[in-house]
Order: sequence, then structure tokens, then C-alpha cells
Amino acid sequence: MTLFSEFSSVQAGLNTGLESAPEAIQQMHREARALLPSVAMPTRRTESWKYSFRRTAGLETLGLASSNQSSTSITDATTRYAEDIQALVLPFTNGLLCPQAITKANERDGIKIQRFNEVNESLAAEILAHAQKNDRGEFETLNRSLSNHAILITITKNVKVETPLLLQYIQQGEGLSLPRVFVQQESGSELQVIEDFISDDANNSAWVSHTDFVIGANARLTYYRMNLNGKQQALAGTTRCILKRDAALESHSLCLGADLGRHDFHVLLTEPGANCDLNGVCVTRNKEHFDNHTNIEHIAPNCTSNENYRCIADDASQIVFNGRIHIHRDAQKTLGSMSNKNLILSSQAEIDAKPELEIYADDVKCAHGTTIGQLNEKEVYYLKTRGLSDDQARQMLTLGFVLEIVRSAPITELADAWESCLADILSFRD
Amino acid sequence: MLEIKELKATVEDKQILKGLNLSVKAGEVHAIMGPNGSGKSTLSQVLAGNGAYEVNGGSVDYQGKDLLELSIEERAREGIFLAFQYPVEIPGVSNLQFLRTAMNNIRQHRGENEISAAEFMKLAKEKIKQVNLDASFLKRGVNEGFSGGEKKRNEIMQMLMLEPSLAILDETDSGLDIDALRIVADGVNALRSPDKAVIMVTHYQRLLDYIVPDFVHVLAGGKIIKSGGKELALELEEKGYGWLGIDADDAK
Amino acid sequence: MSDSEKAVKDLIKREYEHGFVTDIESDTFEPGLNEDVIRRISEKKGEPEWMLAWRLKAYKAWLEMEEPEWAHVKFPKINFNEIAYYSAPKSKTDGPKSLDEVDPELLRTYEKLGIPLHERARLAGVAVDAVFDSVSVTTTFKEKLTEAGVIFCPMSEAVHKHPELIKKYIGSVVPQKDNYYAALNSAVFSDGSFVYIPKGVRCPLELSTYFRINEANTGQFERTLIVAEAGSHVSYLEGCTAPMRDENQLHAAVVELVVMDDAEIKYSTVQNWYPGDEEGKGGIYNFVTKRGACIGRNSKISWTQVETGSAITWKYPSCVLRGEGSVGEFYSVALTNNFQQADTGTKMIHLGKNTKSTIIAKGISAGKSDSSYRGLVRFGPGAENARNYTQCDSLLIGDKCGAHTFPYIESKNSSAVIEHEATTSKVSDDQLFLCQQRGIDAEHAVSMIVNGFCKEVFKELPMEFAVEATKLLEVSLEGSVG
Repeated sequence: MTLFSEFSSVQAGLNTGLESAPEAIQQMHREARALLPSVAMPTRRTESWKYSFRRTAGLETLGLASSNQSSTSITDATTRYAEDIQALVLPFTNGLLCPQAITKANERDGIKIQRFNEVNESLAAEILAHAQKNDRGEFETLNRSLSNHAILITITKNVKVETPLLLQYIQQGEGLSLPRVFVQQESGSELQVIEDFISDDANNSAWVSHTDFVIGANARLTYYRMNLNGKQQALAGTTRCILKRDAALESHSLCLGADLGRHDFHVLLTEPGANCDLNGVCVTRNKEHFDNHTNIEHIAPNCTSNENYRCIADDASQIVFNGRIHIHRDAQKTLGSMSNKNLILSSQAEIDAKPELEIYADDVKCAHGTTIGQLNEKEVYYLKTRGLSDDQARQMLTLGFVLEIVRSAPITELADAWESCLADILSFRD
Repeated sequence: MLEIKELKATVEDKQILKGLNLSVKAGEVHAIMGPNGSGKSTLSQVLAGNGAYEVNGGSVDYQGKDLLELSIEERAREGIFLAFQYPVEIPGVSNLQFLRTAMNNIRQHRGENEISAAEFMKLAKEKIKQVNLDASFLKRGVNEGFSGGEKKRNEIMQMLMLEPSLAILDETDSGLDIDALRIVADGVNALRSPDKAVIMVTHYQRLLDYIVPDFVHVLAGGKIIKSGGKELALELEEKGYGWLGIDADDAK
Repeated sequence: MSDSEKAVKDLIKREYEHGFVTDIESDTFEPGLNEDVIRRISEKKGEPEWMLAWRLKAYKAWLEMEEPEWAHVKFPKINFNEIAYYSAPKSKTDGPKSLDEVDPELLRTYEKLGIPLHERARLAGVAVDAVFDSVSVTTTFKEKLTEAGVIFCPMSEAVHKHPELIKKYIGSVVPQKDNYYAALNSAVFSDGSFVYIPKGVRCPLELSTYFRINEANTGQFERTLIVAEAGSHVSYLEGCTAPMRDENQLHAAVVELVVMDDAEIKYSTVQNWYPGDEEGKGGIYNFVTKRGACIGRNSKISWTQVETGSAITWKYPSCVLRGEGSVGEFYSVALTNNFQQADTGTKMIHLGKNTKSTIIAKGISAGKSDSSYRGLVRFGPGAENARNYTQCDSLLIGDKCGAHTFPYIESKNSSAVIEHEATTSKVSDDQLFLCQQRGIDAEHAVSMIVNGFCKEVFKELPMEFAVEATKLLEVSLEGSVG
């Protein structure tokens, strides 16, 4: 089965504005569209979808989500943190960014937001080259083929943006949304970005998102990603971070289950001194699913990577974790460590883990550890000596298992929101 | 309050306690001393109900109940508190959350109402100050990243919060500097009252300068071989265990 | 060039010492593979009809199958019609009845390899089946084993003498269609060893098969089957060497183990096939399927392997832990040098309650080689309280090699506990400096460090093999301090 082949007929009407786009942007779309008919849906034999291919069933029949939805940012219990931290909100309704938000954001110092269709020729050429060089995989091609509403965010050199940028992806009604964002951080800049996927829980809806970050020399990005509500939809997103000399990336993601939950997270340490610190928590229940694929490419020497993912699967849900560290031939003096710990709470749940190391340089220190298993009985005992029941002790430790990671997020308001959400899910009442 | 008769216990099929007798009345402070490997920690763990230790003889009566029949948490709710020699670190579970759950369980068991959040916070801040730890410790994971001395003080803080009837301190003094030792001792002394009892398991006489015991017992080879008043501790300090006919290495 | 580099380089350069060719007249098939070739192999061995039918079924399946491409190895496509599928030393009779009838040239070959077959000089306590190209030359200590009720004979003999056992167990663990190379083996397998340990018997000797490829342009396709009945125990060792030739030669073996209640099989391999030269020319393609089924309660399989040879290794000795309380172990050292490529590891399939597995895998890469650990640990819904511990460590020597880890961990059981750890490191200049400062030369120091790195695995080997393995590692590493 080929992926979304019937799109070619539908899309013509949606590509408004593309004719006036710079030639490189038009070329980017043409190339991706030419590829689409030949891109196949993942099968059992597709290594990167080995454990999740079944979850993609039916996706190819989806049409595009309506672009005529009201574009407002959403505030409910799960998004209240946004006010607490006074985030600069960029709402994307069904993949399209609200124009007023662009105007508003551009009033800020150091931030420039433009549509791909409106960028100048040289920027367009850069965007094209970047996509040609890096985009891989079925879903990235799909996103690119219809991403003419994609936006470019540029952060000016040496500017420290105090306000977190909240990219709020709102899904209304059925169909596919294909948000695409390209963030260019010039050297020495600092930025916090939150990606929040919010859905009205319609059946047959899906996101195929794509976010690129180029983090310039000595620049710093703190990146948050979450989907606190919405249980029906499919969410297949790619994040790609390219780090220059001495750049730093810190990421925190909270992945809650979906029909298909998938995050492909690529980090390319392309120049010496770059470092990344990836933290993730994934909790699923009922028949949900989430698949985290992280890929850290140590391309340059003297870079450091740290990764810490914790997963809990309950009921009949499934969690996949595939963590890859690839140390290229020249990447001497690399330090890489990855820890992935998992808990299975029910006899019907499943966890599949694949921590991979691919190493071509000898002077490196690299380690990974993965566990699937039970709570530490010494800890259970300690809590019980203080009068907690067995159930209470286990519940508290189960929540603690993921909170240890959540509490490391620098925006405490966000960590609080995540904590209350997790306490709810893991049915622990304070 | 506590009546231990001919208590025998094994760990990993090794017989550690070989018929231990001990009687503790409300209001008393007992010190249990003895060489390494004599069974001091085993006694503490058995009283708390650690499943790794198997009781294979004897009885323990605690306030008219058969203690050995009670689960770990039932013992805790009945007022037994063990201050661990090596408190475990539990990252991700905050001290506050943990203590409040523990406290409410114990209160519920006693037929009391749950403590309100505000009242609890007030109490917690008061007690943490008492053991000279910063209030920020309350928000951190249980013992997470605490130094040895901080862990011990945190144990005492928990004890002060939970107000046990019988506190068992398992080598709480080991590895403490003199200031920390004083803080721990003040905590224990604050707990002393006519309706509460304390068992201190210790290796050194030092702690007993600050918490003066009513009775001192020497534990060796899985039995209590000598009991006396506080002067016994001084004698031990002076003469070692040799004069009691114990070879310290032998006891291991 | 640092001292460590130089020491390793010097160490790697020593020659492959088993690379000689035995000059012996042989009966070898023309290269090529078709149904007729399979009929002729079967005919040569005088096999019954059912065995031929089994082979042909495998061949038909193989024709439909595709070569696996997922392994982290690169090599030009094999032309299966350029390989000869049968080669045997010519002898006057149908097969040597006693050692006196064996060609003295062959006996000299084994002597040279350190495996004397003569009664006088035999390895004490080890019964040997010597397989030369496609046939078994001789099996030692037959009487002593027969006394104990143990069957240890060439596969071709077992087909005749114990057809009921072969029919029952062949393909029961590795079915004909299991994978591409297993299917090929099932169609054209020549010889190999059959071992049967009756109920309650502890095999009085270590059993060993020594495989030798001699003829050019031939492949070796042996098949080994070991059945351990309830309460029995056996330790089995295999060794392998081949001459140095410029062409690549294919070795596609199948090993099946069946273990009943409370029985144990310990299977040790020291694999030293010709690895090719410094330029990466020649060497054996070692594509092997090894699997054991722990069928009985508390049964146990322990795989230990030291892989230093072969141009390419594709091998995953596995355990299917079906019986309650059964145990699977895998201890492996895989060393690659020059242009060698190894993709090896294990599969532990936990199906029964309280099953346990341990995986200790050590990969050492030197020169321009690539060494990969690929493993699967799977806990099925029925694997209550199952446990796995995995440790994969890689050591890199030089900056032109690669070391990789591809573990697959799958759990469908909430009571199971899996722990997996992997590390990678190098022989550091600091370590070398310390050794040198204490008066140990760099080359010796590297081999000490490497041996230390492998210690956990070597201690699992039977004594005779442990010594050989240690030496082998020194030889294989010669000159790798670059």
C-alpha cells in the first residue's frame, strides 16, 4: 500500500500561494510530491517500524483536516500553565498558524517569524538544501509534500528570549494536520520552545508534524514536547536538532498514549563542544501506544550526549523505545550515555526496547543501560516501615519513577502541570 | 510495652539470633551494644518486619499484640519506628508527599482525622528546623542526594513527625560528626516521655553521653549476654568486649 | 604512533598458523547446486528415501527464500553455483573402519592441528569426531562411550543406525525453512556429529568435533544434533580451521540441541576459520544457525563461544526456554581484526515460568574490522517471574574499526525483570603506561588487558579450550597495536 497516493488530486486546491513562493520552496514540494506515490506504508519488515507498523493501519485513507477552523488558542485545565509562564503562544489550528499570532510575535525583539512562501531566495535555498540533506522516512516526505504553510522562526544573534515560545498544535475535527516549523537560532542566542499537541478527540485525526532546529554556535535551546490530552488521534512527529560548535540542547518530553504515538527525535552534534541532554517520560494505558525513536549522531569530536527515558505501560498498551547513538569515525573524545528504564504494570501490556550503539571511533566513552522490570523492593519496604500500605507504596514509587525525570524540567510550572497529569493517570491522589 | 522471648532469626539460612530475651517498658530507653556481626541490626530489622529475615523461634509481644503476626505497615501504624542505618534513596518521591501519606495512614489507624495540608506543612517546617535541615529538603526526593548525616537527620525528622510509641535507632550515630550527633540526640530526647520507649542499637558509647539510657545490654552471638545500667556502657568503653569473654572477631 | 598503537600493530601481524593445505586426493563434486546434486549427496551417503525427501523439501523452500540483509556486514553476493557441495578424501573402502585405514596424510593433518587421533596420543578425557570437508574421518573413544550408553557418531552414520531418533529430532529446533542458510544446509548438509545422552547419564568424556575445510571452492555444511534426555549432562566442544586461500569459502552449519527435564548441555566453540589476509582477501563466510530447545523443567543450555576467525561471521546461538525453570546462558568473545566482520549474538526466548537467562558478550575490534553484537531477549506472556541479565562490552583497538550493539528487548510480562547494560572502551594509554612502568612491554600489556576483558567468558570454557582461547586471542591480535 502506498502512502497517501490519492492526495495528489486533493492537494491542488490547498496549495494556495505556492505559485508565488520562491523557486526553491516550490522545488522542495515538487520533489516530495514526486516521491509520495512511491513511499510505502511501513510493514513488519520496515526496521524502524518493526514494533509499531500495525498502528499505522488506516492512516493512508485520511484526507486533510479542514483549514477553515476558528484559529484561537486553547485554554483548559491542561494548558493553564501557559498563562502561568506567560508564554508567547503560536496557535496552529489543523496545521495552520494564525496570522495575528505572527504579527504579534514579530513585535518582540530578536524574534522573526515568516511563512516559507514569503522568505527571500537565499533563505529558501537554505531551507531546500536542509530538507534535501536531512529529510528521511515516509512521514517526513508526507509532511514536506504539503508543508507550504510551514513557517520559519529566526532568533537573532546573542538574543536571550526570556519568554518561552509555545507552539500549540490544535486539532479540530477529522483529517490530517501537517505542521512544519523551522527554527533558526543564530549564534549565542537562547530560546525555550514548548510544543503542545492538543486535540478535540475526534476520531480519524492525525498529526504528521515536523520541527527543525538549527542551534548556532554557543546558542542554547530548551525544548519541551507534550501531548497532555486527546486519546484517539495518531501523532507521528519528527524533531531534528542540528547543533553547531558549543551549542547546547536540553529536551524534556512527556509522551502520553495515543492510537499511534510516535516521535522521531534526531540530534546531530555537528561541531566540537556541542552537547545534548534528552529527557523523556512515556506513560500509556488502555490500548494506547507510544513509540520513541531517538537518534543521536556524534559527528564531531568532543561532544557529549546524555539521555534518560522512563516508560510505564499499563492495561493492554504498548510502548516502544529505540535509542540509537551513532559515533562517527572522527568523533573522538565523545562521551555518550543512555539510560532507559521501563515498568510494565499489567499482564497485557508490552514494552519493546532497542538501545543501539554504533561506534566507529576508539577514544570514546559510551554506555547504555536498559531495564524492564519491577519496583525496588528495598524502597517498598522503607515506605512500609513508615506505615504505607503495599498498594500505596507501589503507587507512590511508580509515580516517583517518572517524576524523577519530570522534576528535572527547568520550567517548574510546566513540571507541576505534568506531575498532576501523571498523578491522575497513575491514580495517585496526594 | 515490648516483651521479646527466646527470639531466633536467620538471614540467608544463617542463624543470627539464637534465643534473645529483652523486656522494654514504656518510658524506658534501652541501649543495645555489641561487636560487629553480633545480631544488632538483625534485631532491628526483625522488629520492623523485614521479609529478608526469617523468624524461626520465640515470640515478640508488643502492647499485648503478637508483633510477629503483623505486617510491616501494621507495625508502623501501631507505633513502631525504625531509623535505618542505611536509609534508602527514593528519587522522584518527595519527602512531603511521602510523609503526609504515612502520617495520615497512622492517624487513620488511631481513629484520628487526616491532617490538613496547611497544618501538615506547618508541622513539617517546624520539625525539619528541629533537625537543622533546610526546608528545601522537604521538596526533594526521599533521601535523594542527601549526605550520610543529612539522611540520618531526615530519619529523626520523620520520627518526630510520626511520634512513634517505640523508636528503634539502628546505629543512627555511626558516621555522624559531633554537631549532627547532638542534633540527633536532641531529637530523641524530645521524644522521651512516660508513654514512649526507645531502643538504641549502637557500636559506640559516644551516643550515650547525649542520650542517657536506663538500661544497657550487650548482644553477642545472637543473645543478650549481659545487662546493666548506664555504667555498663562506660565499662565497655574502657575494657572493650574482651572481659565479657567475647572475641570480637569470633562474633562474626 | 603511540606505544599502544605500535604494540597492537606488532601483535596483529603474526600469521594464521593453521593455513596449510593437505595434499590428498579427493572426490569432489563439480561446483553447482540443483536437485541432482542433492540426490547425489544423498546417494553418496546411502541415505534412506525419507532423508532425501527431507532434503529436497528444504531445497524447494530455499529456492523461494531471500538472503538476509539485516546484518551489519557487507560482502559481494554469493554465487551458489560456484561452490562445490561435496568433497571427501578418496579412500580404498567405503569409509575407514578403523584408524589403520585412515590415510596417514589425514592423521598428520590433525596432528599438526594439535588434535592427535592415534590411541596413544589422544587428548585425555576428550572424545573427538574429526570432520574433513564433507565427511567424518574417525571418532575416538567409541567403546568407552558405548559402555555408558552414549551415542556419539557422524550424522551420516546416525541416519542409518538411529533413524528413529534422527527422524524425531532433526529440524525440530531449527526447521528447514528457518532461514536462508539453514534451508541451504538442510538441503545439502554433508556430515556433522550426532550425540544422544540417555536418561540420567553424565557423559564420562568431553565430546568434541573438529571441523577442517581443506578442498578449494567447496563449502562445508555440517549438521549437529545433540539430544540430552532427562537428568543427563554433556559437555561438547567444537573447533574449526581452514587453509589460507584467496577465495572466500562458505561454511553454513546448523546445530540443534534438545534438552529434557533437569538435563544440561554445555556447548563450547573455538572458531578459528581462516579470517582472510591483511588486505581482506579470502577467508571463510561463517553463516551458522545454532539453537537449543530447553523443553524440560529445570533444563539448561550454556553456549560459550570464542570467535576469532572467519572473514564474516553471522551467528546467533540461541535458547528457547520452554520448560519451567529452564536456564539459558550465552558467553561470547568475538574478536575481529584486519577486514573481518562479525555480526553475532544470541536470542533468549522465554516462554516458561521462572526461566532465567544470562548473556555476557565481549566484542573486540581491531584493524579495519567491524564487530556487532545483535541479540534478542523476548519474554512471552507465560514467562512469569522470568529473569534476564545482559552485559555487552566492546573494546576498540585503533581508530579504523567499529563496534556496535543492537539489542532487541521485548517483554509482555509484568512480573519479568530484564537488565541490559552495554559499554564501550579502548585500551587506554594510561593502562599501557602503568603496565610498562611496571616493566611489561606494550604488546604483552595489550594482550593482558584484552584477556582481562574476556575473563568472564574464558572461565566458562573447559580447561583445554581456555588455554587455547587465550593463545588464540594473542595470535589474532598480533600487530593490532597500531
